[in-house]
Amino acid sequence: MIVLGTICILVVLLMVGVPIVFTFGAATLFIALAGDYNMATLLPAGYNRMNSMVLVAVPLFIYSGALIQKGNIAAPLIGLAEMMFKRVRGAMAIVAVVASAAFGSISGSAAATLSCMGSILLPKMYQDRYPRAIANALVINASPLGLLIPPSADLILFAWIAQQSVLACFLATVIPGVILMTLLIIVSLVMLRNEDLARDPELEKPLTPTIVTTRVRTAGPAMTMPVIVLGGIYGGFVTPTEAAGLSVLAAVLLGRYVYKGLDGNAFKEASVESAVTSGVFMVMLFVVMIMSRLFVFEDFSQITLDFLYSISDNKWVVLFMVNLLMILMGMLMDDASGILISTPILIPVVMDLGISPIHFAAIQGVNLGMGTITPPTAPLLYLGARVGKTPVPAMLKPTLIYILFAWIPTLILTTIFPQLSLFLPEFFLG
Amino acid sequence: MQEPNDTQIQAIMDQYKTTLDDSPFWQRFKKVHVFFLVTSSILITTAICVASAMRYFFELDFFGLEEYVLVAACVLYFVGAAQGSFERSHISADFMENFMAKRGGLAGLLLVQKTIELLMSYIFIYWGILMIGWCISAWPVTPVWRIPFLIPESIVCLSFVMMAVYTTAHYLLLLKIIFGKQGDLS
Repeated sequence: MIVLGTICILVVLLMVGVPIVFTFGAATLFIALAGDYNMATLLPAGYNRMNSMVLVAVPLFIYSGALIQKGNIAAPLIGLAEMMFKRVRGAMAIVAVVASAAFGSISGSAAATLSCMGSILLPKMYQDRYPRAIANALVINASPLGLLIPPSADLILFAWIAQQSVLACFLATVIPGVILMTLLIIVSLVMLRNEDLARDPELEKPLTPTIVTTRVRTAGPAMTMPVIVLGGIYGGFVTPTEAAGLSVLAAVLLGRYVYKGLDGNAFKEASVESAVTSGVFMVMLFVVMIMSRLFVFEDFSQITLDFLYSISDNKWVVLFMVNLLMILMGMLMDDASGILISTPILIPVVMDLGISPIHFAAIQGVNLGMGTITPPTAPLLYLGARVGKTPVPAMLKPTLIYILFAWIPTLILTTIFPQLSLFLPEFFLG
Repeated sequence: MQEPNDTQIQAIMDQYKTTLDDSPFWQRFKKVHVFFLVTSSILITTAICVASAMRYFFELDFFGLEEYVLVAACVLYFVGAAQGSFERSHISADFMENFMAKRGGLAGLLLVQKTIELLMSYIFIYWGILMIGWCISAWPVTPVWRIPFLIPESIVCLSFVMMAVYTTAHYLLLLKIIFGKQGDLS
């Protein structure tokens, strides 16, 4: 009865458009009242759980993303990628995917990736006669790559809730991320095969050492950021939180003194914007921490498992239903909210099915990445429409094509071949 | 109740913006938020970078530094959340608003939506007070520097109060707009 009531409250309030933090709050209040739980002891426990240094990495990566965006650090990376793929027809499509993955790996935020990449790439793609709808849909579809290519704020959150290694979760999504990148590129090149596309006039001519040197030298300092972040974490020099702090410092120094995009006002704007994004996210986390504790008391996971087993006891059918559930969640809420609410319930379910939580991190990453671009909620689709000044209905067809031929195959492969997500964690971490 | 059309919906949004963003009264709140957000962001980054550099280069460990970092993080999270309410940027699914704007019934939907939001924001204050009550009676402190948990949990409670204040301001404005009395809350 409590489960049914909670689901009804969550669905109805989400549909009505009540902010997710208050929707979660209402569900928590309902469970606490119906189950006669003492909130006075649950609330401090909720705060204690979020009072963790691991979680400080989340706002810092968001901060770093905002500083990179304001500091003009991404543009030279795009110039370099464009030069590398200059011989390919539709090179900007490859550049969009590769640059979004690279930016995502630095910033750890899909929304920051989309805002930054969209504002740099889309005007250039429109100028090069790329069809508006395809170009915009591509940049939108490539932006959640930041969720799969480490470090990712969402995966830190997943690892923390599921009590798993952050590094293992980071590594689990790398191969699915590369598969997705490949499929996005192939689908884009197929869709653009009959288009009359232009190219950067400088790259029309044969490459001279001067052009190559200039572009490499300009992009060089920006390339140090992934080296600091990823090299620091995987080299064992720093923790993910320290790497996030160093990436903020690097973004400030590069944005201020190398690329000169970060003045006092831009710094203040980046600080406030990222703090609001983090605050909105963390207050939601605070409520979810209390709610997930109530889920445990009410045995929501067992009830979910019993329900799934009542339909079928085949592992793959149950896993298919778990995927379906997450796709539906992704359609109703953003990636972070999806992770916050689904992880505490689904981790015991998938472990009961004999699925590794690290494998599930990859499944969830792909699923919720796809959710961010799947209507009706689709936060990235709407943000992308604003960034690229293209109406959402015009982008629905190419977005659907990307979902069908890039996202869903990646999800299927990630789900049925655990080695795709387990190979790197086992190889590097044993 | 008159159903607003697209222009009126835009007017509602503009009015919200005008009230809290352009009013000198509300701007003071924003300035305080901005000060705390920028300061806490700088403090957290500096502390983490200095600590990792000292550990890596000089093998020095700032024992217990994380206790201060987490207090600054609490300021960042919860003042950020209050500023989120100020700018109405808490994440929500807005597809129903778009649907209702075309089909009619938007005013009713907004009224239901904002009423629930308002009620919940006051319940959050109650929860914040419960937390403080528990903190005063149990008096938990951090292990190294003995920082009372009352400090961060008071920040949480204060943030809930500010969220409720901004939600109320938005709500009153919505009532004025829906019931035909255009006004300014400043």
